[in-house]
Amino acid sequence: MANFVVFLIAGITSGVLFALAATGLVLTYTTSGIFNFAHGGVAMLAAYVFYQMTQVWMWPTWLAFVVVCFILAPIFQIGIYRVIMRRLAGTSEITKIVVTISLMLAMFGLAQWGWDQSTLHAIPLFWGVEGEWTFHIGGRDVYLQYFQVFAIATALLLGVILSILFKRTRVGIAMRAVVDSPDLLKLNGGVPEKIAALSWAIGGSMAAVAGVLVAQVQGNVDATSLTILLITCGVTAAMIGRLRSIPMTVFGGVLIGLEMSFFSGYASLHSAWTSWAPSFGVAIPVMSLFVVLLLLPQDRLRGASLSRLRERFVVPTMKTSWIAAGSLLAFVVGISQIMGSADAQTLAGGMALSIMALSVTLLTGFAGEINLAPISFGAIGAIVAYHHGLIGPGFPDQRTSLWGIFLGIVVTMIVGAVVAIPALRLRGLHLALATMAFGIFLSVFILSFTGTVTIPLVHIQLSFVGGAMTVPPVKFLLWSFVSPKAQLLSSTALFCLLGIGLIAIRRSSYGRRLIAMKDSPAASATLGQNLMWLKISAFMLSSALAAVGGILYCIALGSVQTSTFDIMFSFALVMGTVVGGIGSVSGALLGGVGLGVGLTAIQHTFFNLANAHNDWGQLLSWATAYHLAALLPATIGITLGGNPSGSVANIVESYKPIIKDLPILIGTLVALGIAYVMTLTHVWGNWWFVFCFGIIGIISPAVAERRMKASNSQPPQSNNAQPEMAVLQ
Amino acid sequence: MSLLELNNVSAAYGTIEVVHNVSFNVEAGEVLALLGSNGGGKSTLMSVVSGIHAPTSGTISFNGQDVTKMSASERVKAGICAIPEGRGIFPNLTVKENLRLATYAGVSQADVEAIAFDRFPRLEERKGQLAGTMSGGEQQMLALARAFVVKPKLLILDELSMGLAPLIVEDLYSRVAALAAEGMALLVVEQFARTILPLANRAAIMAHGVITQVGTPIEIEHALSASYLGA
Repeated sequence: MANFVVFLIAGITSGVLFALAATGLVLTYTTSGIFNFAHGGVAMLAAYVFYQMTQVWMWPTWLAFVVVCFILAPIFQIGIYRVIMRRLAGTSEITKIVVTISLMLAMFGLAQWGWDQSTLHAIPLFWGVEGEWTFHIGGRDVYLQYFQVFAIATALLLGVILSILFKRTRVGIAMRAVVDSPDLLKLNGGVPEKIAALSWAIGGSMAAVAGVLVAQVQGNVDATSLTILLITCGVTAAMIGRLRSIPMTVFGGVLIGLEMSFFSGYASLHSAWTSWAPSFGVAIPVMSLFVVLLLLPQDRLRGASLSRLRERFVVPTMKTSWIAAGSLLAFVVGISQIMGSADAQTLAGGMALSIMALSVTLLTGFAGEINLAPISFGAIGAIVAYHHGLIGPGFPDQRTSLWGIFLGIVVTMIVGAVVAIPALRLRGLHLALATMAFGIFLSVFILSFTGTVTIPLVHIQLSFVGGAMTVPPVKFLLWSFVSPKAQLLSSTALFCLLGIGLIAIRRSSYGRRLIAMKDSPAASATLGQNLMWLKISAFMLSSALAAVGGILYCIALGSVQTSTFDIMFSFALVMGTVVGGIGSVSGALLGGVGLGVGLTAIQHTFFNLANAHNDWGQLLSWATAYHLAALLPATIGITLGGNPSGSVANIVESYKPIIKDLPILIGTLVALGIAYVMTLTHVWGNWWFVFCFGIIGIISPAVAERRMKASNSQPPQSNNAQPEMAVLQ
Repeated sequence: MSLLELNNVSAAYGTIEVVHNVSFNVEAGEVLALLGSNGGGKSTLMSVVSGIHAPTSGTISFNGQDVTKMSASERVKAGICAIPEGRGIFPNLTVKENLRLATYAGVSQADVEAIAFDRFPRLEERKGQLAGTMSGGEQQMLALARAFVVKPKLLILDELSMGLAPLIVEDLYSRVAALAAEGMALLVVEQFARTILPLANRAAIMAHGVITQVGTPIEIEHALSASYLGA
């Protein structure tokens, strides 16, 4: 009985805090239509700032609490709304999701920059651990902390204030009206932008209160665990409230808090479950999220969107695809000759990530089904290939057989189908959340378990035994792709083939059916399409691509840990793909290589410069540049609202003038050729080639465009002059 | 000086222009009916006048003031009240909450409810009901109640009759006639010409983004069949 009461109090305390976070999420979603994945990030940053104020600057606790939760957090959130979120009108669901994910990753980067993640940032409880009442229940002492009462009272007070705001005040009613029709609110005389900004400010406050108080429950501020906890619990509670009902959201938060408290509490009391108990903390909410999403009543099949989206993707012809693939392969063969092994290995990893990104292109770009956990599917393929595909005497002579890769692909496809079947009724945001739940569950529950997990009946192992694995290079007939360059070339060739295959799919009747399903499921169904089959097949094909990429990525990295397949990495890959262009193969290439190589290269450069020149002062230093570089991809993702079609479209457009300008085209090729030959003959190092390549790549299109504009603005000469003269006469 | 003046107003969706250099005016207390077949640009033009859709060129002046750059909410305060096509209500708010939002125009809540419930007693019976759960006619009553409450200088009505039974349309337009009788200027877009023409002082036909004819209701009635049938 005493245990029950202890778990009950702890569960209610956590639950009301999750409810607070979830209510803020619902508030911002209902007023702007944007599901803010960065909500947990705001909570996490607020907890860090609170830590800074109370533990470093020694501010009084109450003052820090008020400043962080009711001044800084609302201002920060209003800034996010005004600078980023307002620009997302007319973009697709995936763009909105990716922008908020990018924002969350940027907040992560800020936290890592501001607070050393290798040290503990402990926050003592309000009133300390001594501040408590003691009760005697069932022959033992049960404690009720002042903090717990404060947390519950704060949540209840905020709930009551919100309830009054929504029901009794004009601004609260207008917040609900914005959901129905912002234009109609304008016609009534309201200003939807101000209303939405206010709701984002309130949402920010609620996230901050939840973040600060949950960090106190945890005892310290930890960026990853706090964000994941608040995302999973907050999202689950918000979905229980169907992103509409605040009372149901509060009920959902308390339910999740109680579930976690009772499962973790009772599991820790039984020796058989002790090793699993810590994982329950995150596994319970994500399992609940999955169940809630499946049980949630879904909207009927929707028709085509009334307002046209701003995303545009051009489908290349097969001839163009073959030329582009040949050019890419020739380019990689060329640069592989001037690359060191480490660089080749990094690029091979980038290529493997690009193959995983292709899975996102197919599933999300073509079929419109959002998968936020591509890396998790890649992980399954790699683990199965590792357990069942190793051949040879032992390290370092072991190889991965084609059979192992094949089995990895097949198992991942089956898992993809298994995930797709319950998710058949889900679309858009709900499907995105379901795949996120799957990814988090896999990484924190299955992959974190260091014992043996075997799929029943087929006896296929699916676990990280010992917490790490080394996937050896592939052996194909008599060839073993051992050297990094061989891995790079084989990965690139495979990417080219799969990319061409994907474009062939896009141009086929099957591809057109996928696009039709994406654009208008209702019209697609009424035309006689079998949406179930389309969805499952798209999931399976996408899973197969993710598995191939996952296996090659693990081979390129050598040794991988559980953290390699973290959900945050999946988020980053999806973000990279959308930034590149979710509807194009080249977008996947840019996303994968950008994430795997570009970021690494930029960060290494600044890291080395920071170590060599660390005397520039705190603000203007290479270390600052290093941290800014870490924020770069997230920053690009955040600005996606201005260019939802992705970067590839812009890049292609900017290079068109070169193709039309023969002197510039020849000059560019000659300059690149000279730089290449000088690197090949060791006149200078390969970083100089990268530098020249970058400079030429920036200058050439700019010069070509300038020349094109100049020639367009010149008055027509010779032949064109005749008619003009005739008119004048 | 006219109450509303549009000079060479054009409007577009992206790169596609749907309203081309339209000019017309509405005098104080006048009822101007804007007629024409579907896709002619009437609703877009109404959105431009109410401030929801920005014009690509041209100027709009209201009551002697240039309102071209003014936001929709500022135009409400200046005296323009627009009831858009479809149902101009918030379906997930109750009737009372819908009316509460009319106070943005500067009317007290007590006055809002007193006037609305006096004109439309049915709304008082349903004041706690979600607006989206009411019948189409009741929803349009709620939308129209805003006009009675706010008492604008210019009321814009866009397809008030859409999707409603003839008897309900007749009842609603009798209310509109009452508003006109109070001296309110009306700019009414309507496909059922015979419903609105008896109320109108002037009428105009709009097709393919331009106003093709302006005249008395009788003149326009004769021209209508040509416009609709393309004869």
